[in-house]
Amino acid sequence: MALYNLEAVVIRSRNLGEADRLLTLYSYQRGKVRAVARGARRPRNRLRAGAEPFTHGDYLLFSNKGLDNISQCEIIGSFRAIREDLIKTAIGAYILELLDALTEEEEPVGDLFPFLLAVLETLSRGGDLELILRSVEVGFLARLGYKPELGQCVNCRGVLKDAVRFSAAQGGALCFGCSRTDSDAFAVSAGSLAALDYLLNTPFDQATKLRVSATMRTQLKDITASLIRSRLGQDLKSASFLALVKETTGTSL
Amino acid sequence: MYYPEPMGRLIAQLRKLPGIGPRTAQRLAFHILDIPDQEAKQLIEAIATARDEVSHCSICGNLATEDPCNLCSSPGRDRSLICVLQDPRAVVAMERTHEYKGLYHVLGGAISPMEGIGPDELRVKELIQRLQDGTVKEVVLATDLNAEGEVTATYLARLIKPLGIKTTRLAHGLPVGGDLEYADQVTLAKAFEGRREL
Ligand SMILES: [Zn+2]
Ligand SMILES: [Zn+2]
Repeated sequence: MALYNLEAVVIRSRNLGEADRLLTLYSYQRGKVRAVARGARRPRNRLRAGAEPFTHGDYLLFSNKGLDNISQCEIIGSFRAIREDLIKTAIGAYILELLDALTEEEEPVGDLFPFLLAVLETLSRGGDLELILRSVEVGFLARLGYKPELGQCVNCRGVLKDAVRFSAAQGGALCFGCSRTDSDAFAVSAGSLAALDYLLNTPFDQATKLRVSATMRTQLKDITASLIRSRLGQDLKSASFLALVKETTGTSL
Repeated sequence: MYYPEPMGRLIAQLRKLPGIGPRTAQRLAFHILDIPDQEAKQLIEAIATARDEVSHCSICGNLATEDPCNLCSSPGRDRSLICVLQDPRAVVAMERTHEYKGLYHVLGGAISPMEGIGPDELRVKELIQRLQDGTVKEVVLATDLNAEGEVTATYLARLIKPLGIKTTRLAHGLPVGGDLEYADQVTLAKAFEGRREL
């Protein structure tokens, strides 16, 4: 029985059997790991709080045949500010599901873990939630090898001038001459591309203070949504709850 | 291991029950074969009757043999108060306290964005419908104290508050009989927040 430590965030927690929870952790050491928290649904179980989504903690695991088990958990932060706010919870659930969908188990990626923590801290504090969401989407994609080409034409490497379009299939902006190469490409402004580039290359908490017009916000959303759809081939389940919360609360996201 | 075919089928059916592993299923199957005929018939009859006669109350969603259920039709209950629960089992737990005299509303689950379970999969519309005639003054959101339960409660509060009805949440506390030093920090922090003057 080998024991090991993970500093991790619970990105998914599902009921398993009568009293257990099956956790998906995103860890600093090993990336995405699935493990069982035995008895975590019992009221007095010590793993209970550590088995909740969004929880950041030090987890002690032991390997098992089949799934590894969690033996102890020391909570570092529970991100209650997210869990106790409807809009933040809806965004948070979407973010965790997106990370789960884009990553493979046991494949740690550079600075994805610290980025995830920065994301959750920023979301806790609040602010421009729509820009936070856009930064997270493009930040995940870039870190996982799907960084969109925004500075030059993704097809011919030429300079982008007027009548620029965005191609999710090719993963970047297309110049006027190349716009025929993807019939699904849609028009975007130079300002939107510059804003997205800024979100990608500026520290997270700074980036979301950018002032962006309503038209640009719509384009940024179209860009990230099309990129995610082309990577995953389907919509995330939590996207429908996010849309519902947006409608219920009258928030722009 | 070899069983006569009907025995194997019984074991396979028992194994589908929650918390029943292969060994327990086998033990139960042998037990069922050993008990007197009369007792076995009663077991079969009890299963059939429960399945036939118990259904969900069309008002509160609780399990009942009548519709509306005896809680909904009881003249002794406080009609200005509705306690919202995820599961019929929680109604049993609340009733055991003998503290609560209001009505119930059973949602049949909790919102789980990542599993694709939204308000439409639960009895949320039915709840909002019950709040329209002005009788109800307070809704107690007693969903579970985990992420799904919390998101369900915050969502419902958002829907209910505009109707001018008070929404409350059960206090998060320490388990009775539990040592403070063994409580996790989240439970302890919430219990501290919910402290009362003595
Ligand atoms: Zn080009
Ligand atoms: Zn009823």
